Amino acid sequence: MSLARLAGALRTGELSPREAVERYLRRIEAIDGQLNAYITVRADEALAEADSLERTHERGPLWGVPVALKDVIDVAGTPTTAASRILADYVPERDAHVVTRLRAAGAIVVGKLNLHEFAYGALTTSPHFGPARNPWAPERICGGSSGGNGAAIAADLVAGSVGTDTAGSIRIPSSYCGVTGLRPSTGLVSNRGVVAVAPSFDAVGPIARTAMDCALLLAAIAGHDPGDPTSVEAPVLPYEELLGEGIRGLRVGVVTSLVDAADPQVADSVEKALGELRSVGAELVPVTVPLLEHAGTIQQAMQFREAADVHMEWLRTRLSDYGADVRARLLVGIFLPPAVYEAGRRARASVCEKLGAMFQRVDLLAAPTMPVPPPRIGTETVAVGGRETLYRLALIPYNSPWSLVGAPVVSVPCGFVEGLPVGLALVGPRLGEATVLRAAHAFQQATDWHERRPPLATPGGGRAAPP
Amino acid sequence: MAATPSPAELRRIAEGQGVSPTDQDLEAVRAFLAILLPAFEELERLVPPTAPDE
Repeated sequence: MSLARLAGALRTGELSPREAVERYLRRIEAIDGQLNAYITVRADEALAEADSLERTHERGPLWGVPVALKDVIDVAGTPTTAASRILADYVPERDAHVVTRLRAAGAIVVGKLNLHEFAYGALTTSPHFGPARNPWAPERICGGSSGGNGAAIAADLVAGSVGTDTAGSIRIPSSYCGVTGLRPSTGLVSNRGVVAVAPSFDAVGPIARTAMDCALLLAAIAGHDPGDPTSVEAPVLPYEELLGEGIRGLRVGVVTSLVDAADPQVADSVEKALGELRSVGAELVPVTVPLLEHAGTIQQAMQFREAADVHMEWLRTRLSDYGADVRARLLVGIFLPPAVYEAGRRARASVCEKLGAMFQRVDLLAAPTMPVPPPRIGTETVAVGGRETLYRLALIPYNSPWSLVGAPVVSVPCGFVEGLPVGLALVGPRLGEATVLRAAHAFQQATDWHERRPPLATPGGGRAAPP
Repeated sequence: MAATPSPAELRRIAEGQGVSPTDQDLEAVRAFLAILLPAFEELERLVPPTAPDE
């Protein structure tokens, strides 16, 4: 059941908050041993919060809806591990701003989800907490860094979730797990109480079943936070109410270089999805995104330094406690001269200006979310364009350009390659969440890719029915 | 094109910031830098700094 339908069932009394929580807890108990999506399950706390909600008169839009959070988002009294050894014993005293917002909307946090250590990688194979497994093929990665979110939503282990995205960390697991995820515009959702990766790129956003679910979650968590220096003052729209307006006449720029460079079967799925968008009223136009080939370098020029700055004290005192890949990536930042960061900043401004001009000509951009299907756990290279490429390099051109400009991007399921999900990325201008979600919703009204579920059996051979 | 710094040079820079990587760490960093440094050089050519009076 989608979050939107569950919220409706809770509102009408078809289901109580306690019943909703209990059903997800049973499902987690039955299935998560195969997936490792959760790091912490707040069973007792969630049930108590459900009982407490039933005694309140105020009923927010997410009243009684169980949600889960990437384990970089603070929940008072519950560990925030960031899937790291360094924060394994860290228990925050305060909720993150987004958690305050979720609670105000009536949501119940049932647990904290697995991720790539410190959200600094796209595999979700923490050496400290183990890999999260893809519900469609457990020997494959979920993507990352919000991999636990992708797995939990795909396997119906929670109704909705909130993750983070610095260079693809919401979009990649959404694509790889066959679910819907939105990286909002940078600054639209507060980062306060969230473990940082690279502050000028970090964005908190929803991963759920559908664009409607993401719209409901975004409406709950978005909004200016004076306590977060990266937060922007921007209106929070009733996103879910704007989804039904359709996309007739919407101009969608197809980033042909990214479609052409993808695995042919992925490209085929994306091209068919673009045909669906056209059939529901969009006008497709091929576009060339300026500086696209440099976008990854520009982001890295800034991100390596920002991430090293965030971690500097631990690099001095806890270096051996990082997993090898994250340790190396963080160390790179301390060796880069300030001129590299400054060049990145100048180039980023140039990209923002050029993409801003492009969004005068089109309403959205479209591309594959990822160029290849999810690789097997432990695989470091993927085949792109007939050449073996490092996985971490292959994903950069598909994700960094949009992170650079702080644009909203939704990834929607748009097909399968050999049983593995494929995602379509729809990119909007800054603060264009309503348009991005509207297009995603129109696509999902015309297709059923988002309704497909992995054939994941419980250990007993049966199935734990989702709520 | 800038050569990838030697392990000894990297160690000097790291220790100057109070960080003590292992030899293995420095080799991993050098693998990253071998790819990144030429790309960063190209980036600096692409967007050269503007002189203060421009």
